[in-house]
Amino acid sequence: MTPSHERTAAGTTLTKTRVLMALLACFAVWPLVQHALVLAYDVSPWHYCGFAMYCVPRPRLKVDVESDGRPMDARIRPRIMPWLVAYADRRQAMGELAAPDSVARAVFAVAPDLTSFDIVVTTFAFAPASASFERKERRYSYKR
Amino acid sequence: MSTTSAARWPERVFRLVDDAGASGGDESDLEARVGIVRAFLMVHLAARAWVVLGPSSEAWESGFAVAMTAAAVASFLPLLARAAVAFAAALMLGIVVRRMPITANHEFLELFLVALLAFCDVRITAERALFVRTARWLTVLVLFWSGAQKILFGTYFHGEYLSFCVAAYEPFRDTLGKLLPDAEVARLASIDPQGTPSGPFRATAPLFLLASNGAYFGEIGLSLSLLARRTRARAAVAMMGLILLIEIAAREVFFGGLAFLMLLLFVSPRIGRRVLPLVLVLYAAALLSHVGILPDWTYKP
Repeated sequence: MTPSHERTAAGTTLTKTRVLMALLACFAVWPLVQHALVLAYDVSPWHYCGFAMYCVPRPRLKVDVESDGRPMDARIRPRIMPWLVAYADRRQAMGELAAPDSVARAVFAVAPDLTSFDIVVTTFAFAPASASFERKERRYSYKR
Repeated sequence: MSTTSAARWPERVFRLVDDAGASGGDESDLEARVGIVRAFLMVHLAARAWVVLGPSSEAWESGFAVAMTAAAVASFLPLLARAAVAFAAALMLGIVVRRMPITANHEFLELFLVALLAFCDVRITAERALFVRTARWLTVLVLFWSGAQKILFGTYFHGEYLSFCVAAYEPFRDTLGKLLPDAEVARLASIDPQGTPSGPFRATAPLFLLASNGAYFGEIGLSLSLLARRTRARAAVAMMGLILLIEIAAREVFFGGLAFLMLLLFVSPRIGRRVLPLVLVLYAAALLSHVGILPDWTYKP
């Protein structure tokens, strides 16, 4: 290696060192941001590099579709099942940052006569103070 | 801040995880560490790509497993090693993006490690040291935050989280459940988290509380001990022991393997060479269990 090549290699290594330092600095503080997202939006502690796996029990949530306060026609649910499952997975990870718009579009597609309905998401949040689960319901209203 | 001191501060931070000297330790030692970690990581990536395949897997997932296996094989050929690692990093980036927003933490971690290995040209001494230093810091941060988050969420002081695990998951009942009176295990198992009452998931048995509080104490204490040269190797071995204990209940073979891989950076390559075959046997057993030749005993990540 010539002296000029050595200088270039050393410069490249220094640049890489700085890049990695910056990334490590982000990595060092990110779990605090993720923790805040978990508390504020019910984002999953198991996701997004907060390294809070095995910290909070997180039973599976429920997603229901209601029309006029009653469960929707039982024949519709199987037809929108792929969207419900995909949304439940997304919601389980992203918490309230994920709205069920994809499910709503699927409902409108399979039930052309329907003008309005609600998508109800029920979650079971663990409260350390009581060491019990608290049922939480979030209702999303959609109109055609 | 002068240019010189600006150039030096990353060096000072990195030096905290060095074994000796500015280059991170003995040269042949570094080369051996990188070799072990690269072999381990590539086998890990290929094995996990196969073990997640199931009846509901899509065609691209099988393609990913084949491509990752090809990359792993090529990484053992000196001429192809660097390109193979870069290819594996590109594949991992693809999988992380494809799985968004439900990408698992271990997939991010795998991406970070393989991308770091591709980013640093480990044929160059200085970059070999840079790889080891960065990967070591990554390990310290992951382990530290794993413990700190348990404190922040407050679910370990009275055994809350582990009580739930004993109630909900059989492997935890078979292991940690032994630290609780039978009546307590029965009480926990009878609670429906979605019913009324939905708790309390709390325990008073001293050994159970010791295990619960010991988990975050261990993770934080041992991760910080990795920063001190005097305690580093022992802390890494103790951390491996702690992970082994956790995995007896959790059975997340591949996450445990990933943690072992990262901790091997802190111990002598001599130990690494002994641990590596054991982990490979474990991975082979996990794969055989996945295809039904051995009984099903692993958690599918």
